[in-house]
Amino acid sequence: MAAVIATHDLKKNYRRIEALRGVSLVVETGEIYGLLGQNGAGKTTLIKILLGITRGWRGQAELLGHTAGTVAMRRRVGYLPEDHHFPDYHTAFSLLDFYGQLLDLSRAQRRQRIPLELERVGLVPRMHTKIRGYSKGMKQRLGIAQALLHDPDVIFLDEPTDGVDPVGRREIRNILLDLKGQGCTLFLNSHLLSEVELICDRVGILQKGRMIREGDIKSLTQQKGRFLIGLAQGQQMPLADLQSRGYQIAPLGERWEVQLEEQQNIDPVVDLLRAQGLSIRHLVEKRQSLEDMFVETVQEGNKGRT
Amino acid sequence: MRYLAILKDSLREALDSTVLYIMLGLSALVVLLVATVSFENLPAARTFEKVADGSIQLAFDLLKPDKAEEHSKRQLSGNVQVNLLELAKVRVVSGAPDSPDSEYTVTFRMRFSSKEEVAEASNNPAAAVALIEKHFKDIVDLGLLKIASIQLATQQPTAVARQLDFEVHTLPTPGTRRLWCARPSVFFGWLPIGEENWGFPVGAQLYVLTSTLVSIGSWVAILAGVIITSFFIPNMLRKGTVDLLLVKPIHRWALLLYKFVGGLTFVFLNIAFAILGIWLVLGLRTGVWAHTCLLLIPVLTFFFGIMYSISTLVSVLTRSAVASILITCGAWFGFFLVGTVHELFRNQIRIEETRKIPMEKRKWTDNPIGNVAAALHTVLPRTSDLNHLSSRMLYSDFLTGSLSEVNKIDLRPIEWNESMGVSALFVALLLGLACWRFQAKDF
Ligand SMILES: Nc1ncnc2c1ncn2[C@@H]1O[C@H](COP(=O)(O)OP(=O)(O)OP(=O)(O)O)[C@@H](O)[C@H]1O
Ligand SMILES: [Mg+2]
Repeated sequence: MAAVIATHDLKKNYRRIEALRGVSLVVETGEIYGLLGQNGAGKTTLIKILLGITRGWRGQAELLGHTAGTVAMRRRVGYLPEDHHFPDYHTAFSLLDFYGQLLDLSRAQRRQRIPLELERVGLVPRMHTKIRGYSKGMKQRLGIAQALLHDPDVIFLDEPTDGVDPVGRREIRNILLDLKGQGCTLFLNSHLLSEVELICDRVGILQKGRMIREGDIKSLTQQKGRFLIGLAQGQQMPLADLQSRGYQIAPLGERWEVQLEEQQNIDPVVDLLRAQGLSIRHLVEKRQSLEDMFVETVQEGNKGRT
Repeated sequence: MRYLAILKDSLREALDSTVLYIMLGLSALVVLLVATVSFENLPAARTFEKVADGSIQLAFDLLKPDKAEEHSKRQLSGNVQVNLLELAKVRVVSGAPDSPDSEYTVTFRMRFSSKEEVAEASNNPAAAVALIEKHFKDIVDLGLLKIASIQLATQQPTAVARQLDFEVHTLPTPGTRRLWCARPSVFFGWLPIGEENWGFPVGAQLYVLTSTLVSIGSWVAILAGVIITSFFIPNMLRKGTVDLLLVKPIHRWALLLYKFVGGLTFVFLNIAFAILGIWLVLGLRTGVWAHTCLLLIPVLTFFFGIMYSISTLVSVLTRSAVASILITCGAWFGFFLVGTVHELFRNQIRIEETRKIPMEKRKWTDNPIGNVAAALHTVLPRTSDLNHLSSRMLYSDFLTGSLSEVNKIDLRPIEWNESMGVSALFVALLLGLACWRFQAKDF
């Protein structure tokens, strides 16, 4: 798999402020990558460097095999900025038409694609009214439509669900998953970790311009040796048996949580329950929520630095 | 394609504000008002009366683009002797009576101070004929009338002493229509201007009318253009808007230049609308087709281009429309000031030279203020030259009939190539700077 985004030791200063202090990251084709971090961590700066909006960086930054900021590859990139402001004398349709022209889409392509993308975000009924009259969420939907307009290979979304209602958020999530299905690479910044958790394959956590943690969601949120077991209705957990064998087990609601020691394995527990004729209805390895992980990581990071 | 897209976007932005409609409405109103102006040709005698007393020649001289021409080699008024002649009779030779397109024999009466002079002139009229020829020279030179012959009249006014009659045989030219005295009125003749028999050459009236309209109109149009377009670039550079444009496959400099040309086109369309409108209605109403004045469209657009390049640079540097309006208008005034002061000094210096004032007594030559003005004038855009060019165009259209004719009377030493070159270079420099800043800017 080819890397769509690759940075190495990327640094950027805004006068005195060190926005990025050596960030290295690689995003492969077809991945959904989520960049997390506190306000001012440098997430937006990273995207802007990759897209050539911000200049004067040091290190390496490549997008689709070209040095970041090259004009030619921008045709293959979609972008939804944070705090975007569309010229409000446009209507959704005329705005996309304008952007489509700048993107070298032919008239026929524009006629075909614009209603399609607006349909996708549910803006068709309002597409010929001025943007001035749109609600925040409508503008956000329009932002997503314009990022997808030219069927790009990579899409950067800076807080895509900002201001969108829960139904809309789910719709957007589905759009993003659709795109992934089509082989599109997605890079998103978001503070809504529950959402990131639902769609991203991999996440990176940026803190004060440094990448402090990176990995796929599963391994980041996994909690070593913690399992949740549920039995069929009315059956009792043989707590004494298990504890006598050295397993730590405690009830958790209707279920039981098992904490394994270093050398222990869950299989003997299952064998024992089966041997006693109990029916296991539920068995999962317990995870930390992404939010817990994030807060923990960031706090550790803060400790490490001060 | 992209240029058109950006142009269309600018247009949409402009249409979104009501200012554009107000401007177009104002232009339309002015054009309509001009359309109601009519000129009623007066009898041929009125025109020849005014030629005889020299008032037409004087007016043409007063109206000419450069008034400060003490140094000039040739001056219109220098050839005219006021009250030299008096009109006695006008007779149509061929064509409709009182029409500018007809041939006439005009009898002029010349006064002499003594009987001896009269006797001498009637024996040998060459000197008197030459005097009359000279009296007509300006008008003939400007192609407003042709003179076939001048001779002593066969019938002399015996009753009155010390006078001689001369017959001037005139032939019409295409310019005679402009020379012809007519009485103006507005609202299709409903509101006549001046007394019953008042009239003046149509060309001079049209010149006064159009140059007033153009000097006020161009000022208003350019100011309005500066204000409307000053919002284009700061709006484009707004945080959250510019990001969306910068990620499009288009170079930043191209984006900025297209936007500049977009603003220029916008003002061009406005100016073209107004000038074409005035040209058309005047042509239709008076039959004087002022083709040169169509050149005002590019000249005024260029003028605006100079202003807009300043506005563009300031917009890129500050992203503020108010700052660009203020600085652009300041620069406009600055250019005007430099142009005026420089011209004043140049004329005064030339006068000192022609009068051969000794070096140590010259006040204007080598004056520090004059030197500063001259230095600034060398590098700054020459907006005053453009204003002068506009007057020249109108003068040529309505008075002389062609630009080359104007050269005979307008001797202001303007190196047009240099003047346009310096202004164009200034625009290029400012745009270059703006592109360079924009190219490196972080958003
Ligand atoms: N144009 C700019 N000029 C100066 N400093 C800037 C600029 N843009 C960003 N910064 C600084 O760079 C740092 C990183 O900002 P950035 O916008 O990348 O943060 P972020 O991670 O996107 O934050 P948020 O979650 O609030 O969007 C901040 O300290 C910010 O103040
Ligand atoms: Mg951000």
